[in-house]
Amino acid sequence: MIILLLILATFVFAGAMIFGHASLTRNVTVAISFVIIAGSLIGLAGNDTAHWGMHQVTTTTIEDLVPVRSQRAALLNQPLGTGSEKTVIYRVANAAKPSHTVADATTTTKITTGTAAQVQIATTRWEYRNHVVKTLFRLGAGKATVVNRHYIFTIPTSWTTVTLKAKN
Amino acid sequence: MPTNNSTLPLDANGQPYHRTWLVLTLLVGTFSTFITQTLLTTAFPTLMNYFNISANAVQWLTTGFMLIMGIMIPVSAWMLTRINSKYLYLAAMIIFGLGTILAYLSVNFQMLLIARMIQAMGVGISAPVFQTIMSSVYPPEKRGSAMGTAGIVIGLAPAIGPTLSGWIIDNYNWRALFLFIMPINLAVIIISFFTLRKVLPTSKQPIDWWSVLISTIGFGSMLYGFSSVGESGWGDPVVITTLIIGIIFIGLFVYRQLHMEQPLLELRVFKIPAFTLSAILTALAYMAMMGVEMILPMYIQTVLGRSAMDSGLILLPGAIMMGIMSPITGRIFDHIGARRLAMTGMLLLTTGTAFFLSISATTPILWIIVVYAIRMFGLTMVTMPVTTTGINALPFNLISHGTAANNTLRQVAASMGTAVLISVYSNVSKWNLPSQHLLTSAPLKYKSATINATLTGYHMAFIVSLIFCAFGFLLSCLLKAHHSTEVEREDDAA
Repeated sequence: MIILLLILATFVFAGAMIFGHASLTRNVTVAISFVIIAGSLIGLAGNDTAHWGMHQVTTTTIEDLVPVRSQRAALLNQPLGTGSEKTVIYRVANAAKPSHTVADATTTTKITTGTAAQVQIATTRWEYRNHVVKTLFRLGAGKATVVNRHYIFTIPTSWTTVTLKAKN
Repeated sequence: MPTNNSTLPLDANGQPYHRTWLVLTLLVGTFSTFITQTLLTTAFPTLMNYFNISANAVQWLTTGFMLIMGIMIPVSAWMLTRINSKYLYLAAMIIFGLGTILAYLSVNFQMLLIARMIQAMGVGISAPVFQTIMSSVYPPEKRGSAMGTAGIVIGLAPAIGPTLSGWIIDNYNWRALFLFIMPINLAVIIISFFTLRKVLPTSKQPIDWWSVLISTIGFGSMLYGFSSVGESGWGDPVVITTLIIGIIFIGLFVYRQLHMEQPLLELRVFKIPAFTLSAILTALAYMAMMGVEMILPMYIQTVLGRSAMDSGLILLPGAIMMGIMSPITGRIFDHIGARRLAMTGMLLLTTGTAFFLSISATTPILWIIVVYAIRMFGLTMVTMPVTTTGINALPFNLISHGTAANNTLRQVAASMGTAVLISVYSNVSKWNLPSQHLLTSAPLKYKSATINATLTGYHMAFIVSLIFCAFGFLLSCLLKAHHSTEVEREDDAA
């Protein structure tokens, strides 16, 4: 919506500025349309950089795990670089291929022990606060941006985690 | 006596001719040559592979081209006063055609580079000749529309070059880039024999070879310096030396031109305040345009991770906007003059540029497309109308000199603007880059820190561009409310 408003206001502004006869109507039209242009641009910028009209929504999924290779190598740690960052390779029950945690600076992983083998993935995204905001900004905007992802692996004591060689 | 047909304009020999055909020939000819200025940028990776050369070397196919163009423009003013415009344009087209054939046949990089420079000699002559003819064959009250049509070439052709070449490279190969121009070039050459006329008076003015030499060294050295800033930085001895040599020789050139009775380039056109104001304003507008046309595709490719072809497509609606609006603003100019157009345009340009200070790694493509198009919409209201208003301030015999002076200034300003923006961008992002050891210790943090550093660089570059635009807006307020040929004068309180 804002983007359409912006285009419309640009034409109105240019039309009034160029063709309008010097009058109060022209000045008012020019002023209003310019405020709409500036306001739209500020709105778009604010939405993009400061997440105006957005709020964080966290969705949590829990999935059952099976060992990736065997109980002795049930989860695999894949260190990145010299090792302060890593991805974890795991296998969801009934999945043909193992999965891995999303490699991103905002991802955190934690491995604990418990009774059931599970992974809890909490993904936080920016979503539109309400329907009005959504209508305003949606045009052109892509998928909701991810704020962060938290993985909590719970594995039985009988499972062990293997750390792989660093990949560069 | 020739038959006096009142509906047809007369050429310099007093013969009637068909202006529409003449203009159409020039339009197609100049468009197909001007487009080659930026045609190779998308093809760089392909050419680097094919000839096994570095990125540094390959960019000379475009930089060298612009360099030669910049050198040819001041000389073109003399050529126009000396040589029959029909044969001058034909010669330019033939030189360009030979360069194109040579480029098509290139077996190594050196041959391609030489071919590009020959092409550039042709374009360096045809572009100012085209613009001078366009502003000379129409009476002043129709000049706006004519120059607006000329604006299609100057604004649209360089902008669609990268997209077109991206498409050609994806579907054919790099030689096709030159092959597709050949039939157009050949057709223009043949048609030119019938449609072009001598439309400007000529005189046997001797050429001052010293001026040619000094201007070639001066502009060549300065443009070389500015083109090298991007990779070497302002502190590089070669950059500093070439810029100093450039400034000294341009100084000498200016001094010589002002103290000659029949100079190569009549710089006394700058004694007319209305012309000078318009020349500076056009130069600023081009600085704002060219720099961003260079920076934005880089942002789209490096930060948003799109392909070169995509970045061309993203800028395409803006370019098309310019192509559509240019003749329209030209027509409007003929009715109301440049002041309101230029103020509106500069305001839109400034506001649009301000938005780019906020671009992030998540900015939706559509928003960039729309704001960029608004920017171009604004630019169209500035470039050609302001150029025309400057030309209208000149007496008829100075138009070719005015055009050449304006084009030279524009070329220097554009390359300076690009150099400044690119160097601001690369320095600021370099300062903000994370330390190298982070790459090995925490590659993910390194990646996000790198993107942030790059974004800071882009933001600073856009701040500089914003300063150009704001300054341009202030200057546009100084334009006279009416232009001299206007019949119906309108009270302008704005």
